[in-house]
Amino acid sequence: MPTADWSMIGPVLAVLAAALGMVALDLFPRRPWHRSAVEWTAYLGLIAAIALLHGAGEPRVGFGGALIADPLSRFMSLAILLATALAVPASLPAIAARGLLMAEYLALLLLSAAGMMLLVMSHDLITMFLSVEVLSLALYVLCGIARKDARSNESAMKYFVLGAFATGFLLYGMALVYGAAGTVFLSGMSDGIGGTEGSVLAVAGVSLIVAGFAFKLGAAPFHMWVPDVYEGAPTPVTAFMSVAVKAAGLGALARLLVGGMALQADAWGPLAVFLAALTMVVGNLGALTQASVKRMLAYSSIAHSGYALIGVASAASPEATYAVAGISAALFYAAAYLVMTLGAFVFLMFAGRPGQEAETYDHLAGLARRRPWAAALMTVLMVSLAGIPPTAGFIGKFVLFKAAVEAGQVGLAVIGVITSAVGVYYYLRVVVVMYMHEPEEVPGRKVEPEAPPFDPNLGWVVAIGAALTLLLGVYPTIFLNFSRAAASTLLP
Amino acid sequence: MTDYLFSQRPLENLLVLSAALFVLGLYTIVTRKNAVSVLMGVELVLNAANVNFVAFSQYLPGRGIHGSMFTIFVILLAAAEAAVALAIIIGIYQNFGRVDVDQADLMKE
Amino acid sequence: MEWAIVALYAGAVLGLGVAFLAASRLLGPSRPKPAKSEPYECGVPLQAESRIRMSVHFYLVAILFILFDIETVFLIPWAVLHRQLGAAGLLEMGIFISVVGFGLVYVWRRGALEWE
Repeated sequence: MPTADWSMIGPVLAVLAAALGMVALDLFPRRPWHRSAVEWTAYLGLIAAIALLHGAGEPRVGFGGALIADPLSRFMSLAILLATALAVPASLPAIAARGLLMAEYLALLLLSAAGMMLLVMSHDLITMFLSVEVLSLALYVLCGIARKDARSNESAMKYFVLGAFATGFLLYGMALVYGAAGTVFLSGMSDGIGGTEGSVLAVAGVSLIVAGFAFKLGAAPFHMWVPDVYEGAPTPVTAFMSVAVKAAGLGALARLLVGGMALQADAWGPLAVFLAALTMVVGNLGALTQASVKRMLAYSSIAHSGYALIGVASAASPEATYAVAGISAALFYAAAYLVMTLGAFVFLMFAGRPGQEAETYDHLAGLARRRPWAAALMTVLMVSLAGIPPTAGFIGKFVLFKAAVEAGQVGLAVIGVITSAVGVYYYLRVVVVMYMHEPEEVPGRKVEPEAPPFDPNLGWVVAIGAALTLLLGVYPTIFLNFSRAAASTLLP
Repeated sequence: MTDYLFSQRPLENLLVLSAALFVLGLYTIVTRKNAVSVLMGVELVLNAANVNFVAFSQYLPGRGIHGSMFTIFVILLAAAEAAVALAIIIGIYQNFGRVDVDQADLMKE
Repeated sequence: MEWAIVALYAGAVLGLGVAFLAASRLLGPSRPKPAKSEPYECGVPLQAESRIRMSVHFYLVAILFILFDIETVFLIPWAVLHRQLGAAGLLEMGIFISVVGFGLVYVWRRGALEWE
């Protein structure tokens, strides 16, 4: 008799049902209400999923040990659903402008979100691998969904080749860990492996898994694909994948390393320190020299992966309280990063016009005069990305650096502070360009103040992003408690 | 634990086979230009991991059937991945006229 | 010590192979002609290049076949154990099969199964 606790995966089922429903709508003859029916199916699925996320309660393991529902999975699922719910309205103008298949696009978006939610719930290696693949496969297609756009194709190709490479690393690492631990379940994995002393299998396996996840998170030295893929993919896809994949990947990495491999911290701890330090430096230095704002944001997302990895590196500390503080800070940072980066990418569409997104700094010149509200919202997001109070980015970095110092990772905190200072330059450059540069300075681009702006829905998405950024910056306590609860149930 | 692992010759042989497949797959992915060849490299890497799973599942007593189960899921995912790759490769061919991974290079800093 | 025998054997095999190839190269006559380097096709002149470009449609059909073919692997464990799994197992497999079937219907309606 199979034991299935269906209520555990209620949110995932709601999202999957909505995805299948949208595709099913495509099979019927087109009616005038077809597009809004598809759109509302997506919203309905996401609302149902958020409603089904209820309850803190004790962590529950179900499906024969394959899945777990605990505060960590709920925190991350909520973040993923929020990103999806913001990505849907942000995608509609691009779908219309590029003539994409709406139902397929939105269904892939929701399928990817379902994979992410399963990823943060997965409690064995099989489910973890499957859900990584579900989310990745949907994203490969989404990157290349603008089939007539060569850049979109190139983006999909690069993402696929490097993503498949990462999948190979991840899977081979899982195979070695399975051999060393004798189990695929996270509970009992750490004890099954035992000490890492002299166990080539365990060390190699853990390292390969960390490398695989580093690829997916876009952490240096596995970040080469990020700028090209993020630049080439349709901007709403970039906005979604840059935040949701990182939230899901970070949640799964935290569960795997802290929950499943606590005894092997001496194997993955130094790796995490190395990845975090290198990623912060590479991301921030790369972002400095970019002429395209979209590419700058891509490098910035690499840098922010590095900051979040500080939390994972601090969690290698043998002291349970420091480990909880590290993971909790990383989770909070992922949430803060989510709202600000999603808003910033969507802003690029909002600041442009249909068919012409704002890409370079020049496109943003003098925007404050033409669109004062848009410029103000972007300023909030940039200030937060730079880590200046009173915003989410500041609180996120503060708790991260504090956790790092307490856990003895002073070096990482120092690198973090220095690279953040570098970051202030290129984030505030956007603000300076918007407020102080004249649009007439742009060569070869006519200024048409009367041109129709993008969909007002995009404005709402940016506004929600900016509002949440401020909310997390001014009232962080509720969210910090949530992330601490999520982190503390992780420890065995 | 480690002594046991390496005292059994069949397991050791399979691990060596799998490591060889893994390295060959990585080599293919890194050196080949043609996208379809790269895909073959990916399949080699996945199958290397499969050999490992089946080997561990078979030769370590009391290890259950999870390794073999994992393999079935990996085979399925490899097929799904190949399908997605095909779609991407066709798109690349229509836009660039070739299917070389280094041909598509529009974006540079 | 037993490895020495293996090495000796491997050496002998290699040496013999190289000796045969070298002898054939040195002793045999070598008069190359263009006709000799052509592929043998039942003795008649070559009709076309062997590397022809196939329609991508074959690949598409093959991939679709593999996808639906491999999905059936998941039916086998259920087929073996369907008595023990009972109604719940039937329900779960029903969901699985209907999702796969939905995929097939979608592929069909979108015209991916049409040859032209």
